[in-house]
Amino acid sequence: MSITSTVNGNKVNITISGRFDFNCNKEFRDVYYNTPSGSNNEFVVDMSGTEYIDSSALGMLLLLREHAGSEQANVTLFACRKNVKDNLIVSNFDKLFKIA
Amino acid sequence: MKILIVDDDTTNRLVLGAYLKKDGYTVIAAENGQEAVDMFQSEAPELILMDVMMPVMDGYEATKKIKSLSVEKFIPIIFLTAMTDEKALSQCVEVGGDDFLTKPYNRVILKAKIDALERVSQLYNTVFEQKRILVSHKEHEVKEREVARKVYDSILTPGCLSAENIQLHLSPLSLFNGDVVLAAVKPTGGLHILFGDFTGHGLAASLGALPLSDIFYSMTAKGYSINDVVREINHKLKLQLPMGMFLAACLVEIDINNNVLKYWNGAIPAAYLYKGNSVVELKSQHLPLGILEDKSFNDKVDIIEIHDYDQVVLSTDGILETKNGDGTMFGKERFVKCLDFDIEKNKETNASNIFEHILEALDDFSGSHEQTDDITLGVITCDTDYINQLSSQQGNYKKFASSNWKFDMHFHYDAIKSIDPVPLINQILGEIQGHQIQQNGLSTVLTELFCNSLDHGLLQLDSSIKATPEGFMQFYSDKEMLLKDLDTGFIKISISNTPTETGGDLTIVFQDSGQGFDTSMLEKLSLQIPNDTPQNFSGRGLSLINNYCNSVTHNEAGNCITCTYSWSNPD
Amino acid sequence: MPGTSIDLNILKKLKQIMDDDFNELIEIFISDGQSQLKTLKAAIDSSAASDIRRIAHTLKGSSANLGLLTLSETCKTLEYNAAENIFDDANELFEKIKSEFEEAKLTLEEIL
Repeated sequence: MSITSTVNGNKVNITISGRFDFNCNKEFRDVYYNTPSGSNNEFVVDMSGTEYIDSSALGMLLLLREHAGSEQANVTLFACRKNVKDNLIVSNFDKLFKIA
Repeated sequence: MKILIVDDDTTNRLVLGAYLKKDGYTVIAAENGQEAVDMFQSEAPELILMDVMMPVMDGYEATKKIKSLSVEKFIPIIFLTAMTDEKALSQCVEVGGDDFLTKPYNRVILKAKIDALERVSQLYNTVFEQKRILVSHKEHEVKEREVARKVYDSILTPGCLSAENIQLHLSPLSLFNGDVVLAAVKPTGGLHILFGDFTGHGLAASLGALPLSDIFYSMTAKGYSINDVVREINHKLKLQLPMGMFLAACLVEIDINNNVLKYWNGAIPAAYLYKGNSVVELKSQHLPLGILEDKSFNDKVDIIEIHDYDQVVLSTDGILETKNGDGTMFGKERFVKCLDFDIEKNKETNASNIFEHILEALDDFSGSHEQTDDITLGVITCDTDYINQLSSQQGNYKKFASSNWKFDMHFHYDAIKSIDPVPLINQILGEIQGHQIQQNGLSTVLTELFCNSLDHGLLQLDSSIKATPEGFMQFYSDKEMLLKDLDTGFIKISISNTPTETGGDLTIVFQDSGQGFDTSMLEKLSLQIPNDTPQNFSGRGLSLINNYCNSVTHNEAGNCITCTYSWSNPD
Repeated sequence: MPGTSIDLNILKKLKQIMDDDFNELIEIFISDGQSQLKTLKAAIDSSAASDIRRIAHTLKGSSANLGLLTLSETCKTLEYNAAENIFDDANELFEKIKSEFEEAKLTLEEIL
């Protein structure tokens, strides 16, 4: 599992590869902590390499959303695989995140 | 570093001591093996230089003793020996010696050996410390599991999970992984079920279960509906759980009086109503609990008509994620396929089969029983008679002296849109006269009276359309809309108590601002209505009221109903 | 005396390290050594093998530490012989030890 980020002005790109589960807690936090916070930034999470997500991962996405401005946050979950997308939809996370 | 020199010859001790002090070590000395052991215990040196031949106790013996005393910490021992025969040297190692130094002592070599052993010692001690920490964590984890288990036991017992119409597979492991199942009986006749899955595991997940169960049991007992319960749970969890933790949950209300199933599903992936020959999905349309603020929270509940022996099938994602030898997951499709099981063909064995059928399919798929430890599956049968029986078996009540009292409530249309007075009334009655007052169906009477005033009085809905499945959905959708648009009217409620020898007589009056109905019809309407005839709601509702009350009278207009209800104190 | 080897470097270094304590070291070596010679003689006279072995061993060690190489070697021979229960040349070895000790004593006193 690997989590990386790049910052381009006010656009933050985060890439998650492998299994996104409770083992990724610390690593994920370390990565987004170092990115600018607030709703004036746009966050794009590249999930094309994300094989699997569990409820802990959903929790981590909520933390990212808080970092990105909570209600005003602009966070897109990009290129989700079918199983990951299904999980997000069942949990109705499309009400909190843009899912592309 | 503190070094202990053990040698019976004074010259040797002085020479060695000089070398070591020059190199910056702290030096202490012993003249024989016994003194060495004593000094080891009193001075705690970190390294020992040990001569072999000494009076009282020799170097081998002393080394054996000291090594046995230093189990938790590594104390290197370097033998000082002039011997060069192999037998003697191997004996040094056998008794626990870590190295040896020959005379004449070469200062450079001595320092090199001490440095090397110091490194080994640090490594050893680090490993010891890590082991100690690991063991303590392990013990801590075991204790945590015990606490989590105890918490869960105390949460699960107050409810009615052991009821005969509930089949549940819930293992300690799945509890520890945050799965929670709660069931409680409604005083008005019905069942509330909560099927939940907390993020995280262990004690962290257990903590959320405490406020959850408190709210669930107390609100259900007071007669609140699941939309109120779910709103309150969301509020509490949002407040108490850290960001990133939440509860995926499906709440189900089985209302046997109205043949209705209400549900609220936030992220439970497998929730279905199994009707023997068809399956209805109880879709997840909400976010899990504990995420949204009160103002954004959606407590909208969906409604399905049910009949006796319909079954609610609920599962957390454990089942769907069970893998077989190839690494394929069981998945939602296979789960639904399990429900494609015609119960008609197995009429003798009846309701329990779908539960066993699913578990069997799971075992077959995974090829082993181990994985079923991690799953949570529940099947609840809608059995009117049984649930009625459960409702009437409530707990022990404190005895209250029956007294004279009266209270009135007025609700104008704006209040009616958002307040459900029935649980409030239940609460007040419980506080004044104790909950035994509700034993003989009082909550049901109050619910029916209120529904009557609201649905027929204020909203002027016609219950007869509920006879067909489409009409059923239409009724509730119309009610929602009419209630939203309501801009006039009121409901007045008055309840008073007159003590009797055995308890008391309640007089209950419900008055609404509606047009009423043709009360002359009541005489024509047979009030002994057989249960399986689809009757209009008001007919059925009135028959229930008549069932529990001593008398029921209407005013001429038909918009005010007065009932008398007797209750008795327990002996 | 020909064939007697003393490593003066060891002694010089020791003196350098120990400063004033060096004197004490030499005094102790000499007085210990003298009493060891007495008990060694008694042991040889009574052919007490293990005693001979023990004392020779000790003197071997301490003399080596002070760089008194030949003395140390002779003690070693006596020690090993006693271990094998060979007493033939015990007296001869003792005389050697005694004279080498005297020589050492002189050298040590010079250095003080």
